[in-house]
Amino acid sequence: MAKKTFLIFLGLVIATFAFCAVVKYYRPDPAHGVELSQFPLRHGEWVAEQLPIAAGVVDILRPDAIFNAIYSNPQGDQVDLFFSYFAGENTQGGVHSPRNCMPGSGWVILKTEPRSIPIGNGVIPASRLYVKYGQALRVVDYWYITSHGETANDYTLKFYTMVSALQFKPTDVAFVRFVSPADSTSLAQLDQFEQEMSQQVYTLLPFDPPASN
Amino acid sequence: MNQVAGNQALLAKHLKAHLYPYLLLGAIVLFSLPILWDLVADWVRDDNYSHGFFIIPISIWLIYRQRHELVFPAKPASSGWILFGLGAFGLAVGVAANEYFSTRVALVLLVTGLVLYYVGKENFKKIWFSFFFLLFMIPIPAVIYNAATFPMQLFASDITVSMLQAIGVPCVGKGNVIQLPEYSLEVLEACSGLRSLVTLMALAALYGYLTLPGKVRPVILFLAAIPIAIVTNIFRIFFTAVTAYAISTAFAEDFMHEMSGLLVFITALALTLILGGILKWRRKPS
Repeated sequence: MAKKTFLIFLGLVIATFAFCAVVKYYRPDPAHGVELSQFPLRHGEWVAEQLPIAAGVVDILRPDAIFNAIYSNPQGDQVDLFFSYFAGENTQGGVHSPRNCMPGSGWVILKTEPRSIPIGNGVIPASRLYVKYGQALRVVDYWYITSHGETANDYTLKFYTMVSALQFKPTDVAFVRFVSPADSTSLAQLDQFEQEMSQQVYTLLPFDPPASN
Repeated sequence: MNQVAGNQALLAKHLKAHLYPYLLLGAIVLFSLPILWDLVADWVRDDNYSHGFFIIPISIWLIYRQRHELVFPAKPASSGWILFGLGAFGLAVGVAANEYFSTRVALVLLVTGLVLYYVGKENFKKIWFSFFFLLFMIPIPAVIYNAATFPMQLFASDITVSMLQAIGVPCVGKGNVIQLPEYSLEVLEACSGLRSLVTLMALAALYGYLTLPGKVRPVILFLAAIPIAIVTNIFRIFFTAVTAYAISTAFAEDFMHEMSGLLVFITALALTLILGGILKWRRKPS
């Protein structure tokens, strides 16, 4: 290898890694101190019972913060609210799509449809799964939150976190999931509950709720 | 002593002859230490990638064993610049986008491009596999890995349930969860994809490259890693379930779960060797 070629290669190597070092230096710190113990366990006539999360599940997900509770109202309606938060520097775990976890746990996905959840002046682009386990029918509404926006698609989530990083925004991610029985009464209750509780979720997490364009 | 001195002299001569590329490789390794450190942390954390520790030494050994086939001085390959440039660009974007997989693949491309340029096309044809093999040390993003392997895992679970029922073990399968009397199997892995697939693919690729003639047979063996992974996972779940049912759940959880990785590896190795042997067999002309 000629000395000139060597110097060109060396210059490119140094320039590449110098760029990487600068980018890392200027990357914002992830939002620390997400405290979910403040999340309301009572909302209007809804009262929650927090559900324990298996240690094994936490070992796989390794979230920085996690919340799981089942809310009930006096009419007997129930909604399960689960959300988890992963700081940008968290490389040990990550969100798992219900499209994997539900069938993995024995639930059969009957149907999938996009779902828009109004929140403030904006709309959350969520996804709704209709699932079945034996005789039990449930709907699962879920979405991911990034600094770049919301999505219910795993690949878009990956793209959004990359865009966030390129824009020097935090690469934190959150996952929100509501589960309710699939009968019409429960679904009507779920719509209202989802809108109100989603606001609460955004209050605690370090993300701005979607705004109308 | 003379032998040692002779070897040292040979090494010194070799390093002197190829000083610039070694300096460049050294600089890349030095600057990449944080990336490599994260990669090692993944190998430690993730059982599915614990084989990562062996990949770089094997790649180096593969080049070393062919050292006498490499002819120097060689005409530099300009295509090396293209790979090197892609690697540099990928590395910059990967780090900027905080995307580990892209960053690590780009690092392999960077090194490959440099070596390709230096050793030339003819020499590189003899050692290309060593650089391809490096890709097996890089964990695939979970979103892609699970999407690709989750249906296989579900299939493996279904087959295992049928096998358990066939030998009289009472069980119910729900997705990847197998419910035995007083014990639930695989609950913690309900949303995981197929285990050990990348390890088996690396193993099959290496074995095929080292032992099989032609181009088609190594590819067949490489692709056969997928059904072999499914079979070995069935074997793992089946044995754990039988142990839990016949001996004790504690034994199944502790001993069998610790040993299951080894069992999978031994079974997969045996199946790969058998298939490799079949693929090596050629009818002698009469």
